[in-house]
Amino acid sequence: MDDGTILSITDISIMFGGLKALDRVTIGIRKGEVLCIIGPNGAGKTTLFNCITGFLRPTSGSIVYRGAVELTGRKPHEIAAHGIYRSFQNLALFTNVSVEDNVMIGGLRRKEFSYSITDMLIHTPVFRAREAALRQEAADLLAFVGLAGKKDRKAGELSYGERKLLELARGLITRPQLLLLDEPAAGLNPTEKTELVRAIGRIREQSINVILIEHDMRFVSDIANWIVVLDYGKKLAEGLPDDIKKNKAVIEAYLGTR
Amino acid sequence: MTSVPSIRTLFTTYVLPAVWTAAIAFPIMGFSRATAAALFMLAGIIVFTVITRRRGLRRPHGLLRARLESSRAVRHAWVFVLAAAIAAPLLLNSYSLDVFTSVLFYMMLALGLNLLVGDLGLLNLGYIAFYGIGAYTYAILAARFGISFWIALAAGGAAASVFSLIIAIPTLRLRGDYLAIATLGFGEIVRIVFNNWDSLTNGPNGIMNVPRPWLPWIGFLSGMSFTYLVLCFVILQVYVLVRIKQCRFGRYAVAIRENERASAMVGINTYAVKTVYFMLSAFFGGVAGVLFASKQMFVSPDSFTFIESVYVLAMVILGGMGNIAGVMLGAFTLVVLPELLRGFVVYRMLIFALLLITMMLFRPEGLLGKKA
Ligand SMILES: Nc1ncnc2c1ncn2[C@@H]1O[C@H](COP(=O)(O)OP(=O)(O)O)[C@@H](O)[C@H]1O
Ligand SMILES: [Mg+2]
Repeated sequence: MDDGTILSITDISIMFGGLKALDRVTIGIRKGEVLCIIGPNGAGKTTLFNCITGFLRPTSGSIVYRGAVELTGRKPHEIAAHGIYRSFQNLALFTNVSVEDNVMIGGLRRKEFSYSITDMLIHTPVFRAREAALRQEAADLLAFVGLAGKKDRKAGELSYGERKLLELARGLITRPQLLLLDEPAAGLNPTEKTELVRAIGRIREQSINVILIEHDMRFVSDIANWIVVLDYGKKLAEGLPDDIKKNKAVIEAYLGTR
Repeated sequence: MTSVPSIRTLFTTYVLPAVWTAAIAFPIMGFSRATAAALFMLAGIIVFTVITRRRGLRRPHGLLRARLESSRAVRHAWVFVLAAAIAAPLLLNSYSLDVFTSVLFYMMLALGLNLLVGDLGLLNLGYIAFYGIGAYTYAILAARFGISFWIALAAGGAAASVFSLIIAIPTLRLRGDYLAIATLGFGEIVRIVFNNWDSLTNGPNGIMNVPRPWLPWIGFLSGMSFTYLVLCFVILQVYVLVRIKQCRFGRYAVAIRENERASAMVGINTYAVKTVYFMLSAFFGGVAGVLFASKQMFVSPDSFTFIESVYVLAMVILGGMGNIAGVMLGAFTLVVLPELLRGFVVYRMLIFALLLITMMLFRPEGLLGKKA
C-alpha cells in the first residue's frame, strides 16, 4: 500500500540493561515532509536513528519503509542501499582522506559509476569516463554545500562546521530518498547555519525526505513542517511547529530541563 | 607551501638516525663497516625524503588522482628499479641470485600481507600459513599425483584462499584484536598439521622431489630462468595491486580503515570487502608458496614458523604500511641486510630488533611513509 507514507515506525522499544531508551514510539513520515525530532539530552533521539539505520535492533516493534520494506533486522549497508542516509551526531568522516575523496567514496556504490574488473585492470575509456563523472558530481556537491575551495584538504583539517557540511555532501552523492540528520546545526556558526538552512531547503525541493534532530527551536521553525517530541524514550507530543511551541507539556519537559 | 626544514628536523631526520645506526653497528661490525652502514642509512633517508617530498608537493591527499597522474620522479624511480631488477639476474653470481630470488619471494609475501595490514588495518599474525598451504598443495599435487605446475599453481592459490575463510568468516565480524589472535592460532595450527599428518605431509621429514616449474620450449626452470619467472609474478602482482588501489575496491578499503560506520552508511558491505581482501591476501601468499616449493624442490614444516610471519610483518611496517613501493623496499632491506651481516648470525635478531626500534623512533611511518 502506498498512501504517501515514506517511513512508518510502529511501537518500537529498545532496552539497555534496565533503561528503556525507546518506549513504544510510533512515528509516520509522509512524502515531501521535513520532520524534526526534538527532546532533551538522553531522550532517545539518536537511539531512534540507530534503530532506523540498522546500527541497533529494536527489542520490539517495526519500521517499514515505503509501505513495503521492513527495516528492522537489516544491516546498515542494506538499509543504505534502499536510499537512506544518516549523518552522525559526533561526525563519521574519513579523516585522513581528502575532502573530495570523502564525497567520492559516498558515490562508489551507485550503478552509474560502476565498472567491470576488466575496466579497472586496464583503465578502459569506460573506467575513465565513470571516474570523471563521479569526480564531477563530487565537485558539484561540494560547491552546493559551500566547500568547493577545500576539496584537496584533508577532512580532518576542516573546522567542525565544515565537517558537518562535508558529511551532508557525502550523503547527497548517495542519492538518498530519506536523509536522517543528527543535530546538523550543532556547533555551526551563523554563516554555516544559513548555508545549512539553504541546503536543506533545496534538498527538500529535490523531493528528498528529511528527518532531523535539533535543539535550536528557531532553526526548527525555519525548516520543519512537523515536529515530534521525545522525552525519556516516549513520544510526548507531535504537531505543527507553532502548536508545539505552545504545548504546555513540551514546555515543561523540554524547556524545563534545559 | 615549501618551507626550509629547521635545524632540528634536519638533525632528527638525518643526523640522529645515522649516528644511531653507527652506534648500534659499531660493537658488532667494527669501525669501518659501522661507518659504511651509517652512511648507507643516511643516503637512504635522503633519497626517500626527496621522493616523498616531491610527491607530497603536487597533490596533497588525492587518492585516485595521486596515482593516475603519478609524478615524474616516482615514475622514473619505478622504471629504474624495474630495469635494475630485469638486469640483475644476468649480473649476479649464483649465491647473489639466490638472495635476489629470496627478495622476490618476500616481496610477494609482504605485498600480500600489506593488503590486510596496510590497506585495511587488520593484523594477521599467521600469514605464513598461507605460504605453507600453497607450498604443500603444490608439493602434494605435483610430487604425489604428477599434476602439472600451472594447474597446481592455481590450486595452491585457491587452496590458501579457501582456507583463509576458516578464520575470516568467524572473526572478521569481530574487532581487530580478535583477528590478530585468531590468525596467530591459525598459523600455529597449520604448522602443527603439516608436522603431524604423516600420511599426507610426511610429517617433520617433509616432502621431497618436488618438481620445478615447466614451460614449453624452455623446459624445467632453474637458476636464472626460475628467477625471471618469479620476477614476472612479482611484476604481475604489483600491477594488480596498483590497479586495485586506483579503483572502487581500493577505496572501499580506505573507507573501512578510516571509519567503518560511515562506510556502512554509504552502502559498503564492510564484512564482504574485508573477506574478499582476506582471500586475496591469502591467494597471493599461496601463489608465493607454490613458487617457493618449486624452487626448494622440498617442503617441510620448518619453513613456516611464527617467526616467519613476524618477519614478513616487519617488512610491511619497515617499508611503510599501505605503500606498495615502501613494502617492497622493506622486503628488500630485511632480506639483504642479514646477508650483509652474515658473519653475525648470532646477533641477527638483535640487529633486527634495534633496527625496528630505530625506525619507530625516527620514522614511525616507515621508510617511504604511509599511504592513504
Ligand atoms: N548503545 C547503548 N548502550 C547503552 N545505553 C545507551 C546506548 N545508546 C544510548 N544509550 C542510552 O540511551 C539513552 C538515550 O540516548 P540517546 O539516544 O543518545 O539520546 P539523545 O536523545 O540525546 O540522542 C541515554 O540514556 C543513553 O545513555
Ligand atoms: Mg543524540
